Amino acid sequence: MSHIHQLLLAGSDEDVVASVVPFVLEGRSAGEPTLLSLPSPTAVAVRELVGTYAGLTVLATELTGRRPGTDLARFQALVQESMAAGTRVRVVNQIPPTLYRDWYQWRRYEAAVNVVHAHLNAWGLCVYDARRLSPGMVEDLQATHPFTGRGIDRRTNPQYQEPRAFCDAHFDAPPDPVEQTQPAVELLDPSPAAARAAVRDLAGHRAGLTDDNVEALVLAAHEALANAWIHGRPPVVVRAWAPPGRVLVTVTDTGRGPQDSFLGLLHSPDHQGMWISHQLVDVAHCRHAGGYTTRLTAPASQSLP
Amino acid sequence: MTRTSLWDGHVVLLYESEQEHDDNLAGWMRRGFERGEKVVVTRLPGEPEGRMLRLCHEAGVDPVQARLSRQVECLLPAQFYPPQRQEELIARAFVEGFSGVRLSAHASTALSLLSERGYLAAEQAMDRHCRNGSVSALCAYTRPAPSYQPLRETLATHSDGVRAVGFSSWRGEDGVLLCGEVDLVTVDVLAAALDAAVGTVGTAEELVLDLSRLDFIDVAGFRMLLRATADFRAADGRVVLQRTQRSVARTLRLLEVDRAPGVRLVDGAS
Repeated sequence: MSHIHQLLLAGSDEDVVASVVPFVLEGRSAGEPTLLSLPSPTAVAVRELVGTYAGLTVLATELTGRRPGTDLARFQALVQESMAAGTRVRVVNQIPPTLYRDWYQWRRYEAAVNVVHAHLNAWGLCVYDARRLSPGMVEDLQATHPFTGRGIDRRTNPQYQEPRAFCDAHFDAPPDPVEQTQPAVELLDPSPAAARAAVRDLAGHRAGLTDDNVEALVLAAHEALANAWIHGRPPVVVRAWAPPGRVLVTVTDTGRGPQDSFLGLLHSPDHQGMWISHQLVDVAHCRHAGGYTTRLTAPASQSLP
Repeated sequence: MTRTSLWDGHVVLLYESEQEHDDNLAGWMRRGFERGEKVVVTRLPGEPEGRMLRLCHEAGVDPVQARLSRQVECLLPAQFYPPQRQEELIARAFVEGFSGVRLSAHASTALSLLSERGYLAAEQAMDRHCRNGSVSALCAYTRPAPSYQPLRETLATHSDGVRAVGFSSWRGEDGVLLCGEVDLVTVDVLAAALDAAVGTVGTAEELVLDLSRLDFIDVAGFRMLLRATADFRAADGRVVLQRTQRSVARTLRLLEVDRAPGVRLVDGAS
């Protein structure tokens, strides 16, 4: 029983289908449940070729609020459910290219999968469309997958890096351009209640986010502020912006920032605040000359799952 | 028994500043005057009575008139705390024709006169008096709430709940209501409130927490909710969380608080 985390770099949709079909069929004959999370044209093509059977589950891919934290938790739950039968579970997952925008999050996700899902008896095939990837992105993927290969043809990947070392080196997210602009909210050493009220006012009243997203952002900002108070160094500054389509909150203290580069991705009893933030909003970490910043972003239109 | 005001019954006020204390005390006094009750307050030795007169004024009554009609009495701790003294005060108020009586004192002054055991006994007696509906008591503690076990036990005798800025608890129709916001500033108040709430039900019974007015609770708050009820739940007590607001329900599901032993979530928002 082991976890196999494999990268499939495909050159076209036909390429995806040609690689995934034998992978699914082999699973079917071995009696291994298979979870298929592919964009719908590809998923339809695969299903036409493999047929419909009890062990095959086709998952929706374009979920709103899909982010590394939710994906890690969701796939863990789905695999554990399928593992109940006692056999290995196969997973085919293609992250929708629209999410590549936040690549800094997804490369940490791919590294964290090796740790978070290590206890699962699963063979995961991560499908990426090579046409949509820059050379740097391909490098990140090579560094985070211990195996590569076209489906059932699996090879050990010599470029794979130890996940914690990779996450340490790739912990910091680039700043969001909007951080260069004048914030709508700027609070120096605010009380948690004052910070929550300011975020609630900006996100709810002025930016018009859904109630769910407002409260998600309020909780995430609060937890980041609580972390800054407990683990960071004062002064603590809370800033917020409401550009079209989203609301961003940054919490900056002058400390060195967290030492655990898996922070928020691994479910640990000591870091539940950061973990829950990763379930609710987009979280970016940045250690810089002035200290440490946590950036939290909630979308204006989507509601949470 | 159902209380109709936040200020009725046996309640704790946790305060950080004198201003906070006085603002709350004025509200508590106003409630007594509105109900035609006698209001007994204590002052520290050396503290001028002027402060109480000002609070009377803030509570909407003429301080001089209230003193003359004996509706307000301002006592020194030594006049208030000897054992049996509070019972006498309560009995006298009814003899004087008032419909009820309310008493307020600082925990710190009590502890300068009574042993911790003696104080616990006095608070237990007061909690019994307050159950008849015409006696109320406000016991003021400075914050943070004491975590020292004997004091925590004393705090837990206030079965009608805890009041503090930002967060309060009180006994409602459908269980104990938690109101306001719980964060790292008010989490000690939640602990005190839960101690008091656990005291309202017997061992191996159901403690219903009505969360309909709990607007925010953070991760540390939920951790405290589990910790403060751990002994109760370990002794087969059950904590029922009901009428949870949508965002609070989402947080507690993500943290799997509803899956903790002895915890049940009912009619929470989906």
